[in-house]
Amino acid sequence: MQNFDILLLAILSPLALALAMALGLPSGLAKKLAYVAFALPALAGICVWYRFGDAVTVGSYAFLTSYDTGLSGLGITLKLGLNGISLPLFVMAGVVGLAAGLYALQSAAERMNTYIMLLLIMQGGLMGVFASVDVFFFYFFHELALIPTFIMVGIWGGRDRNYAAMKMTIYLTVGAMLSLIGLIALYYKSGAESFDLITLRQAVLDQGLTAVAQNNIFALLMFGFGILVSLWPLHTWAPLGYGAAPSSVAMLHAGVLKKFGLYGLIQIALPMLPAGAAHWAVILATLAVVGNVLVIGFVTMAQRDLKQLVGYSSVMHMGYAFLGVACLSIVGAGGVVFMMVAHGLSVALLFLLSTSIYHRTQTFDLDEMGGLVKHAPVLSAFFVAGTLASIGLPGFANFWGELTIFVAAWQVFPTLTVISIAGVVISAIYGLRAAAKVFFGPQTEAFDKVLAEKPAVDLTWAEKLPALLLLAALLGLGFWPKAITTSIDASLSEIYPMAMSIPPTDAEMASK
Amino acid sequence: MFTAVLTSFYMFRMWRITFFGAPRTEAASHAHEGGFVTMQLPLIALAVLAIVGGYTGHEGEGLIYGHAFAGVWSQIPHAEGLSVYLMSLAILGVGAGLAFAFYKPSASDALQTKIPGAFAGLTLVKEFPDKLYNYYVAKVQDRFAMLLNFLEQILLSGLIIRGTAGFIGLFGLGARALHVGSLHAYVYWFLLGAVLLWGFAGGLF
Repeated sequence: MQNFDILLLAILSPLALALAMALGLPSGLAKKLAYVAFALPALAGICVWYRFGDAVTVGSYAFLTSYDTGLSGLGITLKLGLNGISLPLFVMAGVVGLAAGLYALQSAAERMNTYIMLLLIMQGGLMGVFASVDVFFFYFFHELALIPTFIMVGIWGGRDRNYAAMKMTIYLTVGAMLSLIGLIALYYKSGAESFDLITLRQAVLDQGLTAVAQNNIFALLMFGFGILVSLWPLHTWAPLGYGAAPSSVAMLHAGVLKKFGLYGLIQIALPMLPAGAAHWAVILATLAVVGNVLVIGFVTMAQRDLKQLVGYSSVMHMGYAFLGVACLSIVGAGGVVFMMVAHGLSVALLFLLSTSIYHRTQTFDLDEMGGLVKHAPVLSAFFVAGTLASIGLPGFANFWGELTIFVAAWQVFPTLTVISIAGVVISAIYGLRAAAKVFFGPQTEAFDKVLAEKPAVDLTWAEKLPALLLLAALLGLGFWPKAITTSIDASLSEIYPMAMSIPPTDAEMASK
Repeated sequence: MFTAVLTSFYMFRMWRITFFGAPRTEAASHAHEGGFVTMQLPLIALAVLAIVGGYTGHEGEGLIYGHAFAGVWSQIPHAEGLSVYLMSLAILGVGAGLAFAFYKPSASDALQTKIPGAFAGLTLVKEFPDKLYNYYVAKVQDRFAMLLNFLEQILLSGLIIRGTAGFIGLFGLGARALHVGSLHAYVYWFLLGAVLLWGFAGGLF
């Protein structure tokens, strides 16, 4: 046990400030402290990333600490730690949170104090999701981050915000409920006395689960988490919600919080329910590739609203992640983890820039834009870079995620892999088309009118700083993927083979 | 070898038309030298590298590339001596000469007036794939995307999801209307229910 728990610091610093703000901290001071509260998780992330290589690990987890929250009678303790899977996501959550926080602090949102307070709660929850080793707290922190999301979409949202907030609430609550039932069933069936993931894993290894139980629990987790990650056709909340959400919320939700579901599948479902995963793999891969990649790819192409387009593109890219999950291999799962980090950074960058574009064009309608490059060359450079990253151009982090998934999928689903590689062309079409419509070509009349009232300026430093942070991370991982792959690989190689080698308990009976 | 001549031809054509003869437009007559740092310096650097980069010393050893292309040289028959160099220079000369001869008398692009048939044929060859591509994008790909988007918005988001919500809402509305709070109404509902039950038990339905 350490004396100074850096993970707890990352979770508590935003939450503590949010609490202080709720208790009436003066808004000027609160705003200054908010910079610190958003920066601390990011710094903590970089610090643990730096120290991870030399850290002592127990059951693949490093930095383990445990706190009794009075629930130990139910087998629940606040156990914090990071393994190679959660470490990159923890760092990404810190970086995207800092960018979203900086962007929110420079925005002109109404009732700024409440806005920042809710965003801080979200940030605290996000850090908690990835730092929790206890399944209960993993789920609890997700809900903690989800509730401010609903409120913020409902209050600060754009067009259709009430409908969008209600739809998001219903969908995500149902998804969360299904996955909660799955997690409780897993706990119950494993016979473990604790929600601690390390103990749970050991219990499953020791006594195994029947194939029936595995199939059913995996289905609950797959569809429950699937709704949360917008698996087709359960995705319609996502583009609508992101279209309506204020930019910082869209950045944090699409970038980080949505990854909860995929993270759950990689960290919990795949290693503990290998037979269940094998049972559902073909269905999952087909839904992912035909539904998310192909159908949603074309739907994205038909979008005329910039924010909807980014929202749909994020739904589409989740198809690659699900395909990676369905590979049931270390390479596939590693690709998904890398892709989650890369997608989190790139989609946050695109949401941020979309809002910055809106401030200059006063519209999200692509048909009313054009020629913005003359007024905002730096903004256009950032947007084109973000688009190329999202397409998966080499040099950006997304490339390694997608490539790894394709390599893994080729072994298992060659036809689906070919289709999903065609998806890269689709994302190039809509991405570059959007960039061309916003920035290049002649200026439309509608945009002329907007410019006459409010001349467009280039990105200010307050907008540039968060964008630069995200772009630097994308390029950094694009050129030095090893920064995170070593730890991902080490943890996956430790967790996965153990589980995969154990047949379901009723397999022996069936063979007799 | 024919295409090598063509390359030399079009490059010298470009050079000839851009830098020689009378300016063809008003804008072209105002052309001037670019700035030293922004234009000339990069061009000089590129030009120097272009000249030096291809230079080979004795026995095919490149100034910059060293022996990197030794494998290529070994594949060319009769690569010894001057024959390859002379052949390249001859191709360059033929192409350049043709370009200068062809464009000398005319201030405009002359192929259209000189050989209209060839011009029309070449234009067709260039434009047909472009047109085919444009047709595919506008009529096939974009329409397919719009169709899927229509299904997404109307069928999935609209009919199935909003429709289900609407149906349940309607059911709730009806159920609420029955809760009028008047004891008399409940008594009538009770009696109706009793009659229906009686009827059902008696085999009326």
